[in-house]
Amino acid sequence: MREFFVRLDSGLARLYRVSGYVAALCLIAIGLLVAANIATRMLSMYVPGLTEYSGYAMAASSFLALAYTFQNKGHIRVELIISHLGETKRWYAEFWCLAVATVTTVYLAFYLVKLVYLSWKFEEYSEGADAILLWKPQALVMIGSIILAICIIHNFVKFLLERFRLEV
Amino acid sequence: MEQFTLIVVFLFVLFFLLGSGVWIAVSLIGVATVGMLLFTDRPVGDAMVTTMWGGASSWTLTALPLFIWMGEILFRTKLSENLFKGLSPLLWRLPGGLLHVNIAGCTVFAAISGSSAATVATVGKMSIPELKARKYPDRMIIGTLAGAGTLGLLIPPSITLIIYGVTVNESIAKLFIAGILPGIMLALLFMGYVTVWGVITKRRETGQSALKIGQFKDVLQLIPVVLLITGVMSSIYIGIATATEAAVLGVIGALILSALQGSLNRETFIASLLGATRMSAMIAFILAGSTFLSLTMGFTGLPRSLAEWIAELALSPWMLIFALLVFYIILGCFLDGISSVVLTMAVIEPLARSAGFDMIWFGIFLMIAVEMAQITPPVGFNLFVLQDMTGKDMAFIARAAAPMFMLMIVAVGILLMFPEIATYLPNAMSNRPG
Repeated sequence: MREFFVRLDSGLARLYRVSGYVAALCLIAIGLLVAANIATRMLSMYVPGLTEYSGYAMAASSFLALAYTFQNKGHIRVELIISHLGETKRWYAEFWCLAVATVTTVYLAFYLVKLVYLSWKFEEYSEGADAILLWKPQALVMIGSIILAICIIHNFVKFLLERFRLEV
Repeated sequence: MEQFTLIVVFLFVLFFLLGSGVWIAVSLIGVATVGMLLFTDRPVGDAMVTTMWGGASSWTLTALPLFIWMGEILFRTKLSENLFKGLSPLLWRLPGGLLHVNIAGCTVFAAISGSSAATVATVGKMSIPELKARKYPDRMIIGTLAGAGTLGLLIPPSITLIIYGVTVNESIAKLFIAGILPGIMLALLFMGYVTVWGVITKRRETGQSALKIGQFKDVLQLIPVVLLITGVMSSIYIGIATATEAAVLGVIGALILSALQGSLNRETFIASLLGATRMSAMIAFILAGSTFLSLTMGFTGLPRSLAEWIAELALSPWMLIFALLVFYIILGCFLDGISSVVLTMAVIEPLARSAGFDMIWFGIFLMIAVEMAQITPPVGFNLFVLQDMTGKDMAFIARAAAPMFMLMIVAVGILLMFPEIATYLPNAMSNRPG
C-alpha cells in the first residue's frame, strides 16, 4: 500500500512537470505563430487564423502550466497576515486556503469540462478567420484545469497526512 | 439598503479571502462566484468559463509571455555585470559619483525586464559591494536602488502596463510609448537628487578608483542591448510592428545577443523558457480570475455607483488623483503591483473615464502610484528585496527610500501639470489598432 502511494506521488509530480513542459512548447508556438504572421505579411501573403491560433496557444500555455507553477510555489498570495501566525493557527490557515483552492479548482475544471462538452456536442466553430471547431483548443485549457485540480487535491491530501503522522 | 448589505458582504468576502492567504487568482474566482450568486440568477459556472476562455485566448495577451521570456533570456546573460562596468566610465565625473550608476543601471535594466523587484535585485547585486567598498553612505546606496528600481513599471516593455492595457482595452503599443518620457523624467529627477547631494557633501569620485571598475571599452559591451531595446521600441513607434510582434523580435534579438556573448546553451535556454512559462501562467491565472470578477462587478452596480458618487463630489482632478494615490499606496501594503491593478480596474476604470482622464495618461499615473506602494512600508516588494540583500532593517530602508518617494510625488504633480509628457509621443504615433 505504502509503495503504491509513493509511486502515485512521484507519478503525479511527473504529470505536473510534463504538462509544464507542454505549456513551454505552447509558449514557443506563440512565438513561431507571431513570427509567421510577420513573415507572411512581409511577403504580402495572407494565412487566415494565425492570430487566433496564437491566442489558443496562449490559453493552452497558461492553463497547462498552472499545476507546474503551483508545485514550484509560483502562484502569489498575501502572506502578510498568515506569516505572523503561530504554528497551530498557521496550520488552520493553510487548511482553509487549500480547502478553498480545492473547491474552486474542482468547480472550475467541472465547468470547463461542460464547456468543452457543449462546444463538441453543438459543433461550435470559432468566429475568427481560423474557423476551427472550438472544442479542440478549449480541450487543452480543460486538461490544464483538471491537472491543476488534481494537483491541489494531491497537495491537500499530503498536507492532511503529514498532520496525522501518516507519512507517505 | 438591501443592495448596500450585499455589497458589504461581497467586499468582506473579497478581503477575507485575500487576507487569509488564499492564492490571489483563486480568491478572485471565489469572490466573483459569491458575487454572482448574490447579485444575479444567471448560471454562474457557465458564465465563468465563457468569460475566462474569451479572456485567456485573446491575441493581445500574447505580448505578455513573450516579453517575459525576452527578459528571462537577457537576465541570464552577462548583462548585469556589463551594466555596472559599462556605465561607470560614463557617469563617475558627476557630483555624487558612482551612485548615478545605480539609477542609470536600473533604467537600462528596467527596459529589458518588466519586473521592478528583479531590477533592484540584479543591479543591486553588482553595485552594492562596489559602492560599499568606496564608502558611499548606505542610506544613499539603498535609497537610489529602491527608487530607481521602480522604473521597471514605467520604462517599456513593462509587464504591468501590458496587464493594464489588456484590462482596460487600450493599445499596449501606445502605453509603452507613453511610458518612455515619464520614465526618463523620473530617472532624471533621481539623478538630480544625487547630484544635489553630491554637491552639498562634496562627494566626487576620483578617476583612478572609478576606472578600476570599468574602462571605456566596457561601454561598448552595452551597445548591443541598447540597440536591441531601441530596435524593439522603435518598431512599435514607427508602426511596423504591434506590441506582440515587437516582443517576438525582442525574443529573437535576445537569443542572438545571448548566443554572441556565449551565455546561450541548452540549460539557460530551458531555464529561461520554463521561468517565463511559470511567470506568465501565474499572471494569466490572476487575469482569468479578474475577467470573471469584472463581469460580477458589473452586476453589483458598485463601479457605477462609485463613479456617480465621485461625480457628485465634484472633486478637482488634483483631489481625485491625490485620493487615488493614497488608495493605491494603502492597497500596495497588501498586494503587489499587478494584483492591485487587476483587482481595482473593474471599479476604477469607469470612474477614471467618467472623470475625463485620458486612459493612456491614467495608465502611466497608475504605474507611478503602484510603484510608490512598492517602496512604502510595511509591505513593499522592493523593500523586501533590499532587506534581503543588505541585511538592514525595514525602518532604515524605508527612510532611505523616503526622498525617492517624495520625488515620485513631484513626478505625479508634473504629469498633472504637463500631461503631454505622457501623451505627446503616443498621439504622435500613427493611429493603428494593436
